[in-house]
Amino acid sequence: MRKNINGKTNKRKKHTMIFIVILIFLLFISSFFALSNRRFLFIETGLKNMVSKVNEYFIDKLYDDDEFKDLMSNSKISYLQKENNELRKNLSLKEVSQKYVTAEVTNRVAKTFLNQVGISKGYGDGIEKGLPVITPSGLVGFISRAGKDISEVRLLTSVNKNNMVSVLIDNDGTYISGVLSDYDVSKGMFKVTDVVAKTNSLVGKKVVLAGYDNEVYKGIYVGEVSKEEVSDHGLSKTIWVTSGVNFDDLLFVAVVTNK
Amino acid sequence: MIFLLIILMVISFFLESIIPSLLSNFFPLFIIAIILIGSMFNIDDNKYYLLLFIVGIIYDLTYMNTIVLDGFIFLFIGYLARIITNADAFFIKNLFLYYVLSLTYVLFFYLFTFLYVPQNPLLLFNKILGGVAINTIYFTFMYFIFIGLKKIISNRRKKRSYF
Repeated sequence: MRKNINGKTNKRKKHTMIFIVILIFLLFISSFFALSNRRFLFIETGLKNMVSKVNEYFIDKLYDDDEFKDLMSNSKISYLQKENNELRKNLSLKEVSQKYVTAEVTNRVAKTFLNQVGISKGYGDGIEKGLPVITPSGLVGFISRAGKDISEVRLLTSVNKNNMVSVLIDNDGTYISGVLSDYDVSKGMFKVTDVVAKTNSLVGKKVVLAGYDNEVYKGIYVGEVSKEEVSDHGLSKTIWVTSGVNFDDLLFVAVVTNK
Repeated sequence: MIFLLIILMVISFFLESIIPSLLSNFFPLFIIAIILIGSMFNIDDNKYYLLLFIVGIIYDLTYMNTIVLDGFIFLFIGYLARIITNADAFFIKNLFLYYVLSLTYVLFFYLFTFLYVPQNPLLLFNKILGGVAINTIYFTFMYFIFIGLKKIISNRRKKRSYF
């Protein structure tokens, strides 16, 4: 009988060990696939396309994107681009033009856990990795992966120390640089650090993308400064930015291209 | 019976993406409802678990980026469902078990994805609470479809046994 009891205990221990090993393996594999810079697999593209088409059908039946397109053309985004081009004209610099590709958000299942959404346009429409994605209220995120007819958007709310975004704060005509480094989920605000501004308060000022890697992205509206804290013995500030975008209610977005 | 379960899975699979497009800030748990209801079907254990694993992988490939994670989580949820559910139990008990399994699924996913996308658990819980009504309606609807189908199938078997 003792042999039988020992046998059962050993079997249970063995099963527990196997279960723990599988859990660790799962964690590793899922992290690898979620974080790696990979393309869509063939079967993944097929499945995502199928679901995207089904969603597009329902969205097209119920909503009209004409209103969204009107809002885009009258939004803060265009205003800042016009202002930017006026300044460039005065300095005898070549004007840059932003073009938008409007897309529908067709996959929001991964939004809750992975801070990303799927949209209904891909490289067939000129979309590439790294392009900013916007709504009339401001910057939504960046393209993280592009298939032929579908793309994935990494939302701005996933910003962290590994994928910071350079921004500029519009201080009455002069621009102060900063780094958008974190998103506070409980406050619903973005944290911008390394802001060197010794004099006036920045509360209420506009925050836009710096566009250091591409002039076309410069000036895309991110949000408004709602709070500031002085840090580093008064040498720099940390500011908190409120975005106008409702990240829980995205239906139509526009991808900024320069082609 | 397994074809019936596959049809219900396919319906839930598509509704998981369509309904959030129509309702903002909604967290769907339709697949978990079908996993629970499917555990009450008279299907061989091996076939049931294989189906859940395949559905989990397809779910991951379509909606998430974690490839195999949902396959194993669905398998685990299905295993729990087989142990704790009973087709003859009251509806309220099965509804409570649905909530328990849904929270288990959310907790698992939260723990696995916490390392690369930190979340505030209270906000996550708020999001899930916001979708409780629709998820409950869906579970209730599917549950009574299952009860109706089960009665139809058992009546047919009785008729065949008479003849």
